Amino acid sequence: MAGARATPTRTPPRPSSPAVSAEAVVPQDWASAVSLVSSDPNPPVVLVCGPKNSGKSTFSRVLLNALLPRYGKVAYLDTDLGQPEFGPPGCLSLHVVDEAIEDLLNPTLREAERCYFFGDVSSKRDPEAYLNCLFHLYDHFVGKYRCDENEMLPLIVNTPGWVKGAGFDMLVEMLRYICPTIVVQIRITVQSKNLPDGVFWLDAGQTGPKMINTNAAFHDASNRSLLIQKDSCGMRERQLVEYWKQCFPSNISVSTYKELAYALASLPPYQVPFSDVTVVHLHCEVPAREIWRSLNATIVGLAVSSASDADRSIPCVGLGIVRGVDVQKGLLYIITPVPLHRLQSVNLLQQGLIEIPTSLLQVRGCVSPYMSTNVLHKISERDLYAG
Amino acid sequence: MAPKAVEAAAAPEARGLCAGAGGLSTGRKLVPWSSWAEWRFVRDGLFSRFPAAALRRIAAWRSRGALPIPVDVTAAFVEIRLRDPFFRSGFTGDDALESEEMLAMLYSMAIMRLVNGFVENTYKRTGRSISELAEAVGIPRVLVDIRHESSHRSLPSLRLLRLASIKAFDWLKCIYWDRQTNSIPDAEVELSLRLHEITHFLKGNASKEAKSGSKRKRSEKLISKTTKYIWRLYHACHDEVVFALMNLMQLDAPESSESSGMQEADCLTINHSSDVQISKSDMKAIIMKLSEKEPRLLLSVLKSVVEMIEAKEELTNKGELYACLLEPSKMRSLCSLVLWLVTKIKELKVSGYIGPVHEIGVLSSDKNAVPRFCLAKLLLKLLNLSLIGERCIIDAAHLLIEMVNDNNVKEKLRKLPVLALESSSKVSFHPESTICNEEESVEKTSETLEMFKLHLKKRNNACLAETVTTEGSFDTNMPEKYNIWSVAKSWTPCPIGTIPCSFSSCAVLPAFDAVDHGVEVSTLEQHGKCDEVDHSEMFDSQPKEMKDESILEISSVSPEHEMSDIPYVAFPLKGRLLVGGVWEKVTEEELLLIKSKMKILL
Repeated sequence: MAGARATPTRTPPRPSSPAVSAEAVVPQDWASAVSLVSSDPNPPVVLVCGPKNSGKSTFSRVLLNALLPRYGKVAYLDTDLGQPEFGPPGCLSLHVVDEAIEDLLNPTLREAERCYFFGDVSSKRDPEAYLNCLFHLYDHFVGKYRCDENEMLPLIVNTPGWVKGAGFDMLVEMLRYICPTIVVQIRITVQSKNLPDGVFWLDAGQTGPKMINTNAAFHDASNRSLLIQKDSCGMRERQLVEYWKQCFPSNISVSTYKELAYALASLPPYQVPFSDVTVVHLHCEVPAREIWRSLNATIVGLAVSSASDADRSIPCVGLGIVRGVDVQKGLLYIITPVPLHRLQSVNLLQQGLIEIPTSLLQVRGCVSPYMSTNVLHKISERDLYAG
Repeated sequence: MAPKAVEAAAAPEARGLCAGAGGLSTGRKLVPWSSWAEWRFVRDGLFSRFPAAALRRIAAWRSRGALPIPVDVTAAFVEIRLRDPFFRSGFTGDDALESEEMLAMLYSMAIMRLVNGFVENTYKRTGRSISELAEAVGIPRVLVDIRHESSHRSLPSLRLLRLASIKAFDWLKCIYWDRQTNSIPDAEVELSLRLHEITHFLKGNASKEAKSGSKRKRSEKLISKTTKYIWRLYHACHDEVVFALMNLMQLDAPESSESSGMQEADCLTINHSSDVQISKSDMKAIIMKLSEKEPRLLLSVLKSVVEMIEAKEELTNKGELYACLLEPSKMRSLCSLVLWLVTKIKELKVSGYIGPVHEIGVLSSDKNAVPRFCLAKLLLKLLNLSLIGERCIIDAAHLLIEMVNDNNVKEKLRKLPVLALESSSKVSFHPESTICNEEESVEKTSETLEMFKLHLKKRNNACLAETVTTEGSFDTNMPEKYNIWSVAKSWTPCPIGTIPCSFSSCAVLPAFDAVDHGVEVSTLEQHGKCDEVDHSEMFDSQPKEMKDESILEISSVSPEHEMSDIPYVAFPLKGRLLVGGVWEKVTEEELLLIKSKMKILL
């Protein structure tokens, strides 16, 4: 299956129950790491880190399933913008999960407890805003689920695989702020790509949390870690497509891209007057008179801003596609799976750089004007000397 | 230019379906511009002396993503030059960058991005050296050297960098802007070419019925091939095709030789490219042929015709001399076109090609479905035309009334004064015969229709409630205070990035600059002193970037859109400049530029 995440076995299992599958596919050192975490007397705050494609998300899923029976609910902090677990790409979110994850190989969409739209698939454009959102989410979790000693929930923090340079700095900040009780580090055999061993984020002399080191699940014949290169662009596109499939009740068949694209083009959108929403561009500046041009046929975060919010971290209820702009009537037309009653509080549209999947724009007979023919895009030698 | 029709007829299959540079490519790519007109606007702006508007547009493109590297880099060069005193030639402003070091860094970075942007992908793939690849792509060697020097050695001198930037700019123009210009399909030329082909075949078929079977089959095949191509064209550049179709239909109206209005200016290319004209009846046959596959084409054409009539009416209302001269015959031919189209729509409905439905379902890919509210709105539109007295329009309205109400609404309408008209059934079957009716009956009917119009307005809710006003999106009264979000009513399927036309249900690209929403009013308020604006008219002759665009949007601004929900702008002319007869918005920056120019002149 294309785009399957790094998984312990090559063949995706079809488990009858998640517990069985976890036992069936999880290698020995993962299983012992998981049991070590779940045997913790107190609800743990676990941070899972490691380089790209080493299996952080898969490990987190296994861990979540293992913690669920004991606590009933497990909080999950999704910090990987490019490959989020439960939300659409570009979002940072906190989830409270009460149902085991059946598919250990792929991310599944679930509604977030709280979500911020960062608007890009990497944190590199704005580390400060990224950390800010993250800290807000963590504060929210602490405020709601860690104050009452009798009703504390465990938390799993899955981190992005960017562990060098600015990515490393951000990971350190994250670790220092969150102060997890357990840090699980997944290591691969190429040592130079790993994170430093030990409590690398603390100054000498400070005592850290419990560290668990484990290896990537896959190994080839000579016992080197096997990393599965994922087609992350394609995965993001699929995640976005899945997200907008939620606009339709399950009894309507929108299984193919074509069906979905037709359905989205014909779905009566939500409309909102210009005057009732503010538009914010998260990662670039757009002149005021160009705003509508900039928004048309793009993805926006639907955010609820209130006076008390700090400038950049405004919670968002979901994503929308601005499917049309009527400047004469002063109306924006937006397609989103967010239900109407939740939309009523949305007063801010955040445009980021999450590109709309082209498969939603081009269906025969219903092609968006932004899908153009005759576009010159590659200059090849042939072109140059043909002329 | 397009080959002559004779040639086209002689060897249509030899040319295949890709007529040189103008042909339509099969692949599609996501681009940040919504039309080639928008792309041309940016191109012209970047290479003019006033690139500010083009740069702003590129900023908007950048926020959408998928910006081609050449566009990005060209914009960078233009922006740096704007801040380099060397290129600002004489006048200084606040944003000029005096530091040579900083300018050198900016230029180096732009050049580095240019070289890397063009070769990086191949570099990663092939592992060949950058200079080798750059040579293959044709990047001037000096740019490659600057890239190397500025990243690994000391910063090149500003003098060299300026020269290199000119070279880079020219190279970009040639390698991207000019080549892209040449490969934009010209829908009008392409279309008229295909249409001539079809006409030729149609004629051949008609005249030689006795032709051997195989030959006839061959030409039928060619017709269907050509029709398919026209369909692709229609889907690729919808508006242009409809516009071209309409122009072709008008061209050969008997009066066309004497007409010399704005119409003519718009369709110059076709006029001169075709020696053999397609007769009106041929054209109608072709449109019918085309609408077999997608009946809603008729609605699209109808929409353009109605909008054209509106535009002309507006001109007349303004009392412009030039518009008064506009031949009534031209108007009449437009009106008869309306009637013809409505008749055809009706015929299609009778024969089951078009099925009026109440709402188009989410998953219906039924191209034949035409929502009832569309017909109702079309009717309103027709009744709102001030030349309602025109016989053809009345007849068309009649037909529409028939189509719209097939239930109790019809009964209600029967009670209206419209009944005073001749029986509408007669009209529907012999539309042509009624045209020659006496004048006084026309007057009478127009009177009654006027009454009907009033009535309709008054009883909008009561009378056409089922069909017209169930929708909220076209109401001017806002949804309740606490429900700022609502589901758009009366939606018809249209591609993402477009909105349905309010009366024909065809997809239209939004006119982004049609109305100002006061977003930028505040930024403009500090300047734009009246005297400045007055004087600046002297500079009309200067090339202005906005022109292109304003022409584009004229057709989409319709006069009677209700503006009550739009914030009132106290000083509508503030921050505007009369350029070529159009009040363009200008920014402070542009005004300052003009101001500084004026000093030079003095």
